[in-house]
Amino acid sequence: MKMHLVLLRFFCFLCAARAESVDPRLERIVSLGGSVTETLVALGCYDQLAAVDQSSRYPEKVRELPSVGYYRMISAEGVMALKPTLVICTEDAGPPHAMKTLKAADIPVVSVTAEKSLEGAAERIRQIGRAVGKETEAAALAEPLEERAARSPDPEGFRPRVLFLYARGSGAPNVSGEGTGADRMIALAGARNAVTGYKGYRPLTAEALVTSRPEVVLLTEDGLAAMGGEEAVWSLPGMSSTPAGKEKRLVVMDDLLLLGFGPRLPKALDTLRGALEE
Amino acid sequence: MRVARSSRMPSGGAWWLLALLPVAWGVALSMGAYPLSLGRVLSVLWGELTGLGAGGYSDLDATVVMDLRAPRVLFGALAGGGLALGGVCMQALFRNPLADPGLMGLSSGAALGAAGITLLAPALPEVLRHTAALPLAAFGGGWLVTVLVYRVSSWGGAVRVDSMLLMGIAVNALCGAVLGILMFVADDAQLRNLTFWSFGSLGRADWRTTAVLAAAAVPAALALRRLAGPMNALLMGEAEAAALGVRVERLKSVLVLLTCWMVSLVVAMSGLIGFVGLVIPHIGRLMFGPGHGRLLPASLVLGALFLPLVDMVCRTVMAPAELPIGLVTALTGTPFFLFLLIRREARA
Repeated sequence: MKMHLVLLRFFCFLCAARAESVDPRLERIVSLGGSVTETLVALGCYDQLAAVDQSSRYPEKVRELPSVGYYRMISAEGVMALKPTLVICTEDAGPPHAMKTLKAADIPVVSVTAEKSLEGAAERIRQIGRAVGKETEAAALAEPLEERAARSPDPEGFRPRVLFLYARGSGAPNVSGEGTGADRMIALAGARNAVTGYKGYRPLTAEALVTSRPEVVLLTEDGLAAMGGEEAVWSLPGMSSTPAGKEKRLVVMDDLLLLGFGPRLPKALDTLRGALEE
Repeated sequence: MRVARSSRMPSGGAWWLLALLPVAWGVALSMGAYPLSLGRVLSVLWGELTGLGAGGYSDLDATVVMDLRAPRVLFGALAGGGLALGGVCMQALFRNPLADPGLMGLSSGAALGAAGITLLAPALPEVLRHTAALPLAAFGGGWLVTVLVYRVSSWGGAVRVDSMLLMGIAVNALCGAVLGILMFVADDAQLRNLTFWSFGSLGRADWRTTAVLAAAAVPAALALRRLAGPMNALLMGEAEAAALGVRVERLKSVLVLLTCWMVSLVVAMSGLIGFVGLVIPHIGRLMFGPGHGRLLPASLVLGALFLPLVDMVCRTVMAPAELPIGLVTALTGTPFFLFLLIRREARA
């Protein structure tokens, strides 16, 4: 699979090298969604990106592009001002009236699936590939995800109870229940979400923390920074009496790698699995 | 009898403000993320409105000016005027300069309606979900809570303003608590939608919403104009106003209903835009004195100047992204208000 990636990079490089012959309909792309941007860059479309949204943080160089703000709250005029020839977004981009205005102004808008799963991520890559006329490259990018989806994680293996903390700013962090991106990632990496019984994010309470008996605490890099470092995690009320707190087992991953469900999903799962097994 | 006299005074003092409207609207129309010169904007306006224009602009230019900015500027003007008038009414009703439409639970009722419908959204048909459902629910919520507060505080026949104030505070607290529960059970996306709604935005403005707002707010504003005299009398106290021949109970109901009507509509279509209802009337008072004959039109025009300009700031400072207007009204309005206050203190 490593070879696959190397070949792919090389291919992307070739694509970028012949950028002069770009289809005029693909000259100025506005990308809304971190995984969309990541895929477009992986497909060699970086030079065609006119702007991205706030959640597009990878690869590093996309941060230099103009930002149209939060992808659920875009401004129709702001996007039009960039004179895009194509807008690619996930289906939860909005608000609906702004998206409607863009379509009414004859700006082609391609909306791809927002599904958070291996199959969804692969489908998203293929949809984006079709939109920019790079089906073959997209297939190469999607195949490792599809292969991975075909083999389920080993049910007999080591399945630690993982608690994902979603921290934004100080105050009690949230924990992720069923159906969240983090919940899916934990399951895909062959571990168990320590939090069950409710959907979505809830503020963490000391008792719930103790009851959930996490063996590992999982955080994103931004989340750890927002909490104020590792010490702040271990000093959360109730943390010291959990298995994770006793052994200070913490896994920290890049935000978009862990929760982006982009082309790096297999890498993200390997990283997470590796860190859990350490 | 200063009050009685000022009720007959012509509103001439506010006329020069009217002359600023086209200037402010022109500036708001020509600024935005999409680069357009004032000349281009004018030629689009001329071409699209008269059908005669020599062209010189693209279809996209026309879309930006006619479908995005023009309704937004007009909507902003109507909303700003409506919120400011609502503030004048509430301050007259409570005879308290700190009153605003939120005091009677209007904003929290609207927020509750919006939250309820956001949580119910998955159960709604697709057509409703993205269009009419949220504004209708917010309008209904604001209206329901205000009428409830009003009915309960007028139990014995006469409306007691102090009990209306207490009721408003209690209902605000109750709505806040229910809203908290709804936000707690909301999922991530719903929570984000609610948060953005509560920041306020004129981004939903199109010709349809602008027409609805104009059809509703203009008659209400005209009706208010005729109440300037009685409102002046009310400033002196209810008994005094009654002695001057004002039908106080009727006046109070009309003020509540008109405010609720205008402000609920604005909140329903643009989310929570605080500050305008509280401070624009004050600025009007600092400039033209407390007489409602001049205060009402002045507040209307000041609101119609202020909000489109603030919206212009929202649209431009972070372009191509956009700032929520509710945050910027407070950020830009407060320093100006403080400046006026300080200048007045310095003169005194």
